[in-house]
Amino acid sequence: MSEKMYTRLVRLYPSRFRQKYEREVLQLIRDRLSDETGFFKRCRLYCDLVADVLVGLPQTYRNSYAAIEAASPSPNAEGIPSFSVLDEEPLGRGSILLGGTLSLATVVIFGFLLSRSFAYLPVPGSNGRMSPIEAVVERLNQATTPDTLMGETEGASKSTPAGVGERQPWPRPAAGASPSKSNAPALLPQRGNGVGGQRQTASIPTQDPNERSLYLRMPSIAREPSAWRGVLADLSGQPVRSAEIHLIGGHGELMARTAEDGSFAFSEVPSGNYEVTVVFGGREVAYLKEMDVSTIPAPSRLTLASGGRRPLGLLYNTMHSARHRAEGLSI
Amino acid sequence: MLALADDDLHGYAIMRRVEEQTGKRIRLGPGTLYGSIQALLEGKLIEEVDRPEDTEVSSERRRYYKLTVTGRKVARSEAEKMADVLRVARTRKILRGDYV
Repeated sequence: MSEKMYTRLVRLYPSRFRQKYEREVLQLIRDRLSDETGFFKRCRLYCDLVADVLVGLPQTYRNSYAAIEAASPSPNAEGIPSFSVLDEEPLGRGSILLGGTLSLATVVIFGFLLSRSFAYLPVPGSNGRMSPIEAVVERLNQATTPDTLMGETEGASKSTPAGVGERQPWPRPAAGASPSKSNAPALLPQRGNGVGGQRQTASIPTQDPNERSLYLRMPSIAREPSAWRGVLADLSGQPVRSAEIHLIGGHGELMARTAEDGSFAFSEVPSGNYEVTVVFGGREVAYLKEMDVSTIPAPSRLTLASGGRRPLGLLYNTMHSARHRAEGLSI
Repeated sequence: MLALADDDLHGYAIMRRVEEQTGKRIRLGPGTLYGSIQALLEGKLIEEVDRPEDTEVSSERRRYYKLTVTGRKVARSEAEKMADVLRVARTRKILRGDYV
């Protein structure tokens, strides 16, 4: 380690220290270099210098900051907050450039990692439940969804029976369960064990007791392609068979026909926005605009109202507010 | 501070004096040495003095340090505390060799 190298190491010390002692420090190095010659002594000198930087650097910073703190006048004498300048030397251009470059690189790498599929894989040892990102999204949903949705659905749920909006778990009924005229709470999240990992169940209250409720099992995070299945029924709760459900989007059109029990299934739905159209008896009877495939509820129960083709609005809104609830294809 | 008890020394001489007093067990590096000097100066335990008359011309740029009165009292107080501990250790017969 030459004097030149140690000069660079000295730059790590606080500027206040360097201003006062840099020349003496380098002088001391020169003295030791001239006195301690020979392989063994020189090796010992280098070891001393490395150890000195590791030990002396924190101590020097502690001393410098303690001195600044002691020298500064009482900062909160009048309750006015103030800042103390820790270093008199402004940041150099190289430091700013290096810091900016490292920050930018960190953001780029983080974004790149998020775009990779392995970012969403379960972490080994986490019982295979969910990835860290899914866990964060899950916690955010649990922390924010109930209050927000409760507030939005409050006005629209005036006709619902007592007990609506209570903060209590709402168990997901089995297929073909009774309509929502029972004590159906406002939209509340509930964790379930859906296909493809941890999912969140949400339910939306209905105003018309003849309508059925749609129980949404929303994937916590978008996966592609997704599967969507559900049951189409009429107002009386009878399954609607031989109806065509079309998903029309940027990837083309997908169609599924309902079975005898009104069930339908889309095995693979590429990610994207879709228009959902129900064709029954040779005519289009209901449609739903711009449904985000990543939030497709599965399994879903769709209730087909009478009155022909009616626009339904955005499913996203229907999921979050009863005011925008669908009319033609109720939930 | 004990290194400055007898003479006014510059940094390198302090390092050598400490090395000599500790039987070459402790060699202060430049960062540690001047960090300590900075702390002692700010605690007013040592002070900078002019270069002694009899020093070499090449030492002109060096700073010399001297123990202040306060520093000497603190050093004495600390040494007495250590002497008390040493006395107790002797009475308990846990020291061997030169310390007994």
